[in-house]
Amino acid sequence: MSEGTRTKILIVDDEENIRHLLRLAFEEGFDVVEAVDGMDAFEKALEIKPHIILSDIMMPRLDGYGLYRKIKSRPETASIPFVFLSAKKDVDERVVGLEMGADDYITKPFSIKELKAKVRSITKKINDMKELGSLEGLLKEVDLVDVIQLIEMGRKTGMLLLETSWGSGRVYFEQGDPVYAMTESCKGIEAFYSMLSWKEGRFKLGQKAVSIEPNIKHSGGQELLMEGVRLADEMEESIRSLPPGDTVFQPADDPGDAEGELREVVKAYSGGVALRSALALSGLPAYRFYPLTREALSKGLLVGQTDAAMKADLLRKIRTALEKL
Amino acid sequence: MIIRYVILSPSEEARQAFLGGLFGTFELSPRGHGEKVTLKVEGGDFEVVGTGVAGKLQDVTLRLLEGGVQVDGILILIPSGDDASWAEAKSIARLTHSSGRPIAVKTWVFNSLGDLDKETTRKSLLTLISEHEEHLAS
Repeated sequence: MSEGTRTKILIVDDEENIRHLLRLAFEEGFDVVEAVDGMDAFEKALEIKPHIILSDIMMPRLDGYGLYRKIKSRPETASIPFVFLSAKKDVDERVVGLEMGADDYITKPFSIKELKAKVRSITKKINDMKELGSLEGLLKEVDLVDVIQLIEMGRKTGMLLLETSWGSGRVYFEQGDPVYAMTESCKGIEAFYSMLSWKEGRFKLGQKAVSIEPNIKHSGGQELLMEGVRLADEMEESIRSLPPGDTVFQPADDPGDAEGELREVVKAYSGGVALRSALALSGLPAYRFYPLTREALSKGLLVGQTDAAMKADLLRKIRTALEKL
Repeated sequence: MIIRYVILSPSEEARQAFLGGLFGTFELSPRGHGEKVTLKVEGGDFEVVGTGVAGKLQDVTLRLLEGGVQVDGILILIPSGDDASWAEAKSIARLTHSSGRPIAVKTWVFNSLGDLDKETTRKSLLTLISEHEEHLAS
């Protein structure tokens, strides 16, 4: 979409009043094309190559999911951002839509203001990608997930370099697909997922093709990203649910039936260790470590005490030892 | 986990009499600036470090606190009549109090090294522990 070209938006809905409403909302600033169902939309998408598609789910002939699959299966339309619009508020439906790789999912009745903001945000990303020869910035300003989506939408090939105060990482992309990832402590999918939770530092995309043996295997960049986002969310939620930062944990007297990584996490707290230190001792990535710590606590495999409580406990033992000297 | 107490005294002999008398042994710092005893107990270590130079007790304390060294308690041992060290001890008590850290501080003025017998040194450390426990509970 070069400067001076209006954004083409394809609105797909079998309800005329909804199409009318959306046309009114977008005709100022966008070229609006309407389609009455999935089949109609697919034909129009091939013909006009819209910059963005807003589609209902439940429609005759071809529903929204079917349209999405067809759009993504054709190279000439695969990179078109796709937003589901549906009356369904069912969380599962929403998850299906997003897991399929849709750029967003908006439930009816929707706020026109919200919808316009979403569309503006998505089209801005497309403009950014087209106007920038390379992509760089700060992670506190742009979420890494958005950066990767931009790369994917633009089908970019190159290396995304991340530099933070605690280390660096890189992800190689081929035609928008992440194929190789590494940080200073791990490689492959583990490195890719770890980096998704990085919230500080710089990123820079160098668009130079590099021949590298892939170490990430996946069936689709969107699925990979969705799983990464899920793991990052799970980690954030675990951190929020854990006791205060000065809490020191130690294994319970009865280690229970902990196995595998859970056992490794419990072991990392031997002797009474604070969260961050145990993370380093465990050797596990943060997105695995924090949820496992939470699981260990909920199963009673770890006991946590604040630093003051641990010291008070230790002082009692020291007192006893001194009295025996 | 570790709990670290500092025996701060301008008198090296007093520090060594204290540690040797109570624990039976101590390590000398490789650079000759102090002594250390580590008592291992279940769940952690109790480290007692002896250090101090006449006229620089407050400087030493400041360096420890500002350097981020974990210090949980300070026992200041002052020979009777050492007014300069006594004044420093008072400053150190104010300094640690204003630092907002739960550091217990006690000052003990002794008349001679003979005062530093095992029972009395043990009692002085237990008193320091009691104050430390109060800090932790508050």
